Amino acid sequence: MFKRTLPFACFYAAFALGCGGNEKAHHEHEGEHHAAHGGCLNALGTCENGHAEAKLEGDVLMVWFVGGGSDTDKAVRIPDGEITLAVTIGGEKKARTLVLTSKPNELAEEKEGDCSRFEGKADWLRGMTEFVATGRVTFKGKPQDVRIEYPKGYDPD
Amino acid sequence: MRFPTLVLKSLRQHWLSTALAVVSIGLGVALLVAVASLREQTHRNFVQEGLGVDAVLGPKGSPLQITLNALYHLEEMPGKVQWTYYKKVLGDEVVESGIPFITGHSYAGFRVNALDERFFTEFEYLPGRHFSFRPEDGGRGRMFAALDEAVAGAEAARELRIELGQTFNPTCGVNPGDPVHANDAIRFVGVLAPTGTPHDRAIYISLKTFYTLQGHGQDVADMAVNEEHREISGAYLKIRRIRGGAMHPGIQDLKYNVNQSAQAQLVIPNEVLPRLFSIIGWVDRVLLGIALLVTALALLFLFVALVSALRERRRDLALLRCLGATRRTVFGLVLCESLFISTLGALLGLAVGHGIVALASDYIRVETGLQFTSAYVTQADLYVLPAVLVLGAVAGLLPSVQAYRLGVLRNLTPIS
Repeated sequence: MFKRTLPFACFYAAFALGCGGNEKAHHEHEGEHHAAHGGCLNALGTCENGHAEAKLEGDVLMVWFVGGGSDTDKAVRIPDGEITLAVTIGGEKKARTLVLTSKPNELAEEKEGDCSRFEGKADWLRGMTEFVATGRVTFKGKPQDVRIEYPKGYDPD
Repeated sequence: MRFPTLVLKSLRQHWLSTALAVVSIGLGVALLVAVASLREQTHRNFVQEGLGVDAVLGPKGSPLQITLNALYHLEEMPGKVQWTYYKKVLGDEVVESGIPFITGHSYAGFRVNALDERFFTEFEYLPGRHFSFRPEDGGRGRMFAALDEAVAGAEAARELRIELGQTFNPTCGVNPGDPVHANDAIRFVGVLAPTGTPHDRAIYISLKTFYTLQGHGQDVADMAVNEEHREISGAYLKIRRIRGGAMHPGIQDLKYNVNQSAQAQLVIPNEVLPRLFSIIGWVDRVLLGIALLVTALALLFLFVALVSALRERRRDLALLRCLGATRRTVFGLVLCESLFISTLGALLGLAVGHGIVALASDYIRVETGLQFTSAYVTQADLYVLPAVLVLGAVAGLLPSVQAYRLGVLRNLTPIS
């Protein structure tokens, strides 16, 4: 009996393993959020609502407001001209203030008051490896708290 | 009698089942070899070569549709891009150069694309390779200079038997029944040397020729002079290189910014085409599965054929033992028969498989302009012979053991 069933069992196992490999990879891909600029994604309220992608280059903090879910490569324009962030650096009790101003991109056909990209510059940002920044923006027509946890990102879900 | 002669004589004795086993193994292997070759060559044509285009600026719509239209002359462009926007993209620091084009016209089943004449001098249809009109390369004539002049790709010229000086009237559209520009006769002044790419299957006119076709009316004719109103279907973009020849990483920011605009998008063919394969990848997996199944069934057939042949030949083998053949000899005889049939089947399969690829290559070249070759060697070609030999040995093992254990006296007793 065993002699007869062994080849079938081997064939079935090989077939099942062969089919299962891609299934796993597919599920992993579904849960992935891609940061279009290589920064860290910070959920605005929930991940499905939207994200603030933050990237620090030298003494400039760049923030892009993008969509939720899998739409992290789609810009969400906001009407605010400036965003004030309270930046808390690890070990410091008092938060520092950083003002981000809108940087409309011509190719994206953005303009002042209808822009998804913001930048803030400060000497103390240089060499910073970790911080938490909070603020408030008008996102998708509603006031929305912003929480940026750099560099790992913020995901309340 | 020498052992190999014994094996051949034995196979000849049951030639029908031997031939059937060889043919069935051959068909399975042929299917496997052909599917593997066509799969790999398709993948190479679409993904690795990328047709020399770093990025395509196109209208909003499906990126795959834009890639197929711009590079493979298939599908239709989902809209237009403003010339002024194209110029803005051209001004980005990561863009080295651009070649604007307009698609959507045809002639006798071949696309008629309008484009900048730099296409013939600067465009790289494959990395580092430019178009040629030189007779030694297989080209003829020259690039267009006047408004009523056109250039044909090699395949279009061959199929339509185009001669220099011959005229044609383009069709305003790519579908049967679309109106023909009856008052716009355009003359062929050049034929491009074959490139082995889909660019061989198109006809080219200048942008200005397109705008000034009589059938297009004054609004379109104005686009020839007024850049504010000018529209194009898209543009091939060349991206600056950084050290090591890699594309400037800023292309991702450029893509993000362009894709946020209301009218255009940036498509990177080498990102889009692998996605196409992930969508249709199951098709070739199913074909490979069928090929493997056919090969497995053929080997099963070999097993059954050997077992039934052994039943018929018990007396012969018993007699052979009486004449001095050892148990090992009869074991080896049956096993060698199995290996011989497997080898013959695998070789036949390799030959037929490459024959199928040769036939398919011709068809694919005519339909798409893509260059396939029957001489392409895949991993399947390298592994199929040893794999079939091993499986043939496995299939022949049980009959060989049965032959080894054959009782001489029992099988020599008179039947009646």
